[in-house]
Amino acid sequence: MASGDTLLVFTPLHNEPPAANYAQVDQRNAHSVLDFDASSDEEAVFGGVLPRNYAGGGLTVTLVWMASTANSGNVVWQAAIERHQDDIDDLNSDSFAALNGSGAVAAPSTSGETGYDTITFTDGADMDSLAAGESFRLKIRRDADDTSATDSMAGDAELLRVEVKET
Amino acid sequence: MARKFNDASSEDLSTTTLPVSGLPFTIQAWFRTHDHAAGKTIVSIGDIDATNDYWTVFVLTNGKLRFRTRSNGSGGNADTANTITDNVWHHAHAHFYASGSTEVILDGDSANKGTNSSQAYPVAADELRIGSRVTSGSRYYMDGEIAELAIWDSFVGARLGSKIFNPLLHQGTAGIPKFYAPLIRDEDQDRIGGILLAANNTPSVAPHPRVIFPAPPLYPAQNIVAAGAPHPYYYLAGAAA
Repeated sequence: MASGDTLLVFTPLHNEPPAANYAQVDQRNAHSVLDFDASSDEEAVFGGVLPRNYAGGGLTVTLVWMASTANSGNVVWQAAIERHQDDIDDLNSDSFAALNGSGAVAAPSTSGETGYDTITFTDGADMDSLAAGESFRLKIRRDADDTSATDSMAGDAELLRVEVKET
Repeated sequence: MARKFNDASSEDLSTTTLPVSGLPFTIQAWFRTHDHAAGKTIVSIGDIDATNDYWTVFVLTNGKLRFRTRSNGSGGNADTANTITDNVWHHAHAHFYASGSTEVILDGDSANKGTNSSQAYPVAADELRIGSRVTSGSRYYMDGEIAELAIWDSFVGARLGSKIFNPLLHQGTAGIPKFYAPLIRDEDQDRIGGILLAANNTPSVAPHPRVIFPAPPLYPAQNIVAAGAPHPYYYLAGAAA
């Protein structure tokens, strides 16, 4: 696998929502989306297996999203990876590595237009040392309460797709 | 987004196309009341022109979930022992067995289910309503939200851990639901049979409950190098190269 190649694609239907503060499923012109609130952090969680042709170059997560109503302001996205290592990780509790962030990214100029924003992970501990062929979860969060940067966009952020590629 | 109903404005969804017309059947739905005083209806099938010819699942003033049947005036109730809390999403599950007995389960808690050994199906049912009772009498409109309504024409087990899953992932003894309306935003439609629901008095929308949907398969991309090709080309597994 070469740099820039797509490894996995998640859609809103792949979401396995956490028990609390979950992004809610919604539709926009028959497109399934996940709504992330503007005032409090909400999360979506996607499970998968890192393809065996991952070559150790790190991961780039691309979020395709829309503003529910806004056409200005910034959104702060965060992501974290949880590795499920053979005979080591106990899934009775969460073990996500630290969140990485997109920083404050601008809302698309028109509500309904898609924005493409990325979050990167270097190979190793930054991605919970996830290795090719291993099960994992990817958490996506909107940092609506400005913990890591200022999220100023009014209204929901609607997540349409998540692409994971080799950096 | 789920469908939100205001009882003060008599808001509900309705159809005269019935997905089930007899026994057995099972219904499931998510609901969230804002104020359950005086009873709030989740779903009902019956004769809109009769006062007592219907079945209905609704929340009692005491917070218990009730599965009530009336057939030409006679019938009975099955009430859960556990209760709901306003402004919290809850899961309703009710069976009407071929034998005529009924069960109602709140939040997958079978230990506190309600039962009734002898009920009867409405004799002249002609409407299904979501958010109100099908009767010419008091309609007990919902004050709150309803989502993920499904109806099977068979028995479906209620398991505590299964209520998070979308109804399409629950197989009845006769297969998938006959009727499934996720009620996402204003998509007022049964996705199985295509039944269109009429929105009466403009119900609105509210955030959807926590549900896991049937997911499309994941297709990892693969790097395939064709013999003699100057560059690698890529395709999603399962698609033509």
